[in-house]
Amino acid sequence: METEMTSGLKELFSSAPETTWRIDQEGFDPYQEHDIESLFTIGNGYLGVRGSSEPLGRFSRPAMFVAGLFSPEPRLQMPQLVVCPFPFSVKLCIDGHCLDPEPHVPEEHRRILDLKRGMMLREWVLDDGDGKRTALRAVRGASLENRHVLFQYLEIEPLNYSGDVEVQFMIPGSASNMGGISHLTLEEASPLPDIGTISRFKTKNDEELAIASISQPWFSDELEVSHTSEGGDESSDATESWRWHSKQGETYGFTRIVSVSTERMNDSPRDQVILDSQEWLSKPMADVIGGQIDSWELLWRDSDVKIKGDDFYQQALRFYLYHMLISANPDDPEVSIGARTLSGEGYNGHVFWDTETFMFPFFVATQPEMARALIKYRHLTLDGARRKAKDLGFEGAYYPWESALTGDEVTPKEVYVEDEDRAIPIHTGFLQTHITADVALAVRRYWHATGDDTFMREGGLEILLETARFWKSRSVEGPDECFHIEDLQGPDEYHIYVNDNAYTNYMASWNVLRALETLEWMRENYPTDAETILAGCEMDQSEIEGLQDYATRIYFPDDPDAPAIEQFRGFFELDSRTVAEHGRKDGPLSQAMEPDLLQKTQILKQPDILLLFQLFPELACKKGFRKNFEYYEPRCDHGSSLSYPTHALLAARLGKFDMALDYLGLTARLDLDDVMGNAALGIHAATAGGLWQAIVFGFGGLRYDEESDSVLVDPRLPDHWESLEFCAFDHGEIFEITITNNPVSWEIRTRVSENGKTKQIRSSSP
Amino acid sequence: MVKQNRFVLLPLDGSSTSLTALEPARVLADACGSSLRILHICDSELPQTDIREHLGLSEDEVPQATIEIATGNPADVIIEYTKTSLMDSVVMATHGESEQPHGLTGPVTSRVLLESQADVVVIRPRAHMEGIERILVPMDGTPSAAEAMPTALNLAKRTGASIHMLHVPPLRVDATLLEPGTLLFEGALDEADDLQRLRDEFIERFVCCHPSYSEEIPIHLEIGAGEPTQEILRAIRRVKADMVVASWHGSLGSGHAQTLKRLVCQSDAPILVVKVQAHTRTSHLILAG
Repeated sequence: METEMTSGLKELFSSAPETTWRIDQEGFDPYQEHDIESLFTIGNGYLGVRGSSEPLGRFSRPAMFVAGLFSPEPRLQMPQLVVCPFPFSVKLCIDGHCLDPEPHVPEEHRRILDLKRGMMLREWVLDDGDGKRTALRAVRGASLENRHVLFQYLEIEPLNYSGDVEVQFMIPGSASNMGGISHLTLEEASPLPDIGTISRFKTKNDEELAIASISQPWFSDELEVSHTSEGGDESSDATESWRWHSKQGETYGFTRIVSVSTERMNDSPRDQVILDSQEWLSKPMADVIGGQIDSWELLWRDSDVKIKGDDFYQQALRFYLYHMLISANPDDPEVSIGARTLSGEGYNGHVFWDTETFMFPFFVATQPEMARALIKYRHLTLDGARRKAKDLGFEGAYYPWESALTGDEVTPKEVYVEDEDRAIPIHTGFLQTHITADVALAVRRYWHATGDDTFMREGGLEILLETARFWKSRSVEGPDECFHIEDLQGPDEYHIYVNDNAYTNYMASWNVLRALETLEWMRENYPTDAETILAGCEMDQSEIEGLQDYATRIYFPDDPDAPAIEQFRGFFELDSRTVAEHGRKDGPLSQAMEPDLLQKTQILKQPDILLLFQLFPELACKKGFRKNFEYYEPRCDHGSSLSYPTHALLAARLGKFDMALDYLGLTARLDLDDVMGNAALGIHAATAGGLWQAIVFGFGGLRYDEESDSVLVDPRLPDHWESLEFCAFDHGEIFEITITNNPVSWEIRTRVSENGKTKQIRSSSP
Repeated sequence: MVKQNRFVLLPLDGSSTSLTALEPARVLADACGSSLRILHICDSELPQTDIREHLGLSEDEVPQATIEIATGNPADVIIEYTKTSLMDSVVMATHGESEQPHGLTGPVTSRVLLESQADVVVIRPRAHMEGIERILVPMDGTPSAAEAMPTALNLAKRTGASIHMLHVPPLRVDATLLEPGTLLFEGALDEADDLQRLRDEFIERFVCCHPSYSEEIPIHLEIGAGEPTQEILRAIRRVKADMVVASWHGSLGSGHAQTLKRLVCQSDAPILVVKVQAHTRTSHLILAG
């Protein structure tokens, strides 16, 4: 039997795009499985599903994550992203014997992450232990059209037998995280007669999660098929089963739709998921897949970067762009992107500065609607930041180092190591103040790129003013008539409780100046709004003048005889040896040195000053770019994965191509080669954004010039790159930038959509 | 059919150094419910009545042990024994009678280590073992190191011992040189949020995935930093490890097995050496370029 549908599924495999648009895994390695599952995650910004095998085995760490679904961690009562039941679980039974993938690993196994079409494809052979071999093919995806919907197509082919085959589509009745903690209590696992199953769970916060799963075979009507659905009590799986007599060499296919919703998104998630899944099951596969391809084509139109002449970087960049695109949801400003996206449990699903500093530039440049949702999240959580400031005795808004739904600080104060019965304190929640200015920078960059005055009027300025107010209250005036910010931690986390961290001080000053500048603009253009916002913030003219005075008197190191900009006061009095001079050639020095000893050296986890140059290229021009780079680069041991892309970007701008490519390689391979050895916890989202920045800002030379309020391009391509193409929004217009090499030349076109056509309205070249 | 018992092989050459292995071998055999088989290899036949005296064994020492005498090259004979499927392990002192007690192991022990088809327990002269309650398994986050785990789990299952993993992360030399499936974490400050999660992942990946794992076996994990041998030696003392179960790639050549060599020379606990194949890539990502 070969139906139209089955040939369709085969076609999906044969029409998978070329290598730079996909990641293939061939074979199966139990030890790598948890890492691979992170890499092969599919998602749509609301749902993220790890790339686990359909028949779950001992080697799997399956999980689905739902954006914004947090539940308190039992010990610290800190919100933790909930591990939800794996929605693509399938069990296969042959002649009454259900195949357990353990302890055998699947044979002839291949997994394809189709970056271009936003799907995962998998094919493999299962042996039942008695020599009966079954070939399986599966395709899964998360719809962009309806972000509550997941689709799964499955084909089964008995290779060397004929017999009774049963397929069970299951929604497990429980799910637990790596520590074995389950955040969900099963409320219902019921059959939906003649349709499928419905499962409902409650989090510890009493929020409901509903999952409907329905399926249908592609069999011809002549085949006798038994169809049952069953659920049960506590912890029971909801199972929909299909049983029929199958013949050797024939292919049997199924469509399965899973719909997922939570109370945050819907008052009655149960009803909604049943409706959604029924509606989507009725759609022909061609329509579902076709819709998915169209949606992704639209995303890639503006987000793709084309590197001609280097397929590896092309592929690695698309891999990371895909992961950023499946992590953001333009329709949901109540959530942002966690440090490990929706691909793993790392960092409890919390949002860090990684989003604004590393990922946000990509979204601003290519997906402004996603950027809008991400920055709006910081406005919706502004009250949490206000509470944090107040709790710590400051004014204004102090953004949390780790954020979940409310904007309250959720950094754990300690981590308890069960086996050693000890708690390790975590200081970052009250030491890493710079995130507040990182958010303010994102507000301005978003406004600059999109020209979205509405956002500035409805929330942006409020963020800028409240964060500016925070900085003043966080500073102390010294006898030198400068304001100083003391007892904090900059991005370089090896040094804690430092004073006048240059990164933080510069960012604070910038934050306040831009807040005042934006206020002036608002007063000129929308005076009523300006007064309403000031009244809402209870900020009067004398406070505004005080901020003006404050911003110009924030201490920033300016010693022309110093070897570089001093990272913080007293930094140059520390042991000045480089990483190499410490005798460490490989790996971070932190591996071999206790933190209190490391703090007495100039060894950096990541380079604060160089990061400033990444964010403000004009500052680099004024403050000795090369001198600072050559001072700090040898002193950085890259204990943070965020360090590699910064160095790649800056080395490229300095024309140090060998070094730039070395750092770019480490960035690009971070998850694909599991450079940090912890990909099992999820994708390093900041590295994804960092790679885009290193290529577009570093090699492409794109930069937003604050002073001239314009976009500049100053590309420097490695010899073997033939060309580089990318898009970037600025002032609400999208620019298409094409750079060709040897010799370098470029063209910038502005695209406007007119009746669906692209029109070139301006062109410039060097 | 008569069911044959599994046995622990103890080669003795009559020297006091070889007798170092006697007590650990007896304890190991008892703990595993195996019999103890003493093997003496000599050039000439000895009357059965004289063997105990020749080996330095009193009458009441290991009375249940069977004593076999063989002739030939000692290493060849022992290696031949290891081919039987009923052998649990060979327990040997690091050096024999005629061997100088310096370096890793004497030539007989070295050859047995290299060619044995069974696990080998090596014991240096001052090492001792009174029971098997705590087994230390040194790890470095690589699947190869974890290949010692099935042996350790089986031993723990048979003896009721607990397993104490010590993870000493390797230096990050070059990502492309890392064995696939390696899990690195150092317990650094920035990973504090995820420290417990990484520990759970470590145990799940390297312990729970083995069919011989049972929830009844107590599993502990410690993280070390610094020079691996010193970390392992400290951990032996700290956890009062009765035995170390360590994987080994099978080469003693210059530049190979540095940690194992140092450990064998300095450990007060017997070391069960599990010869493993380097974990080979059974899966790979197809990357362009």
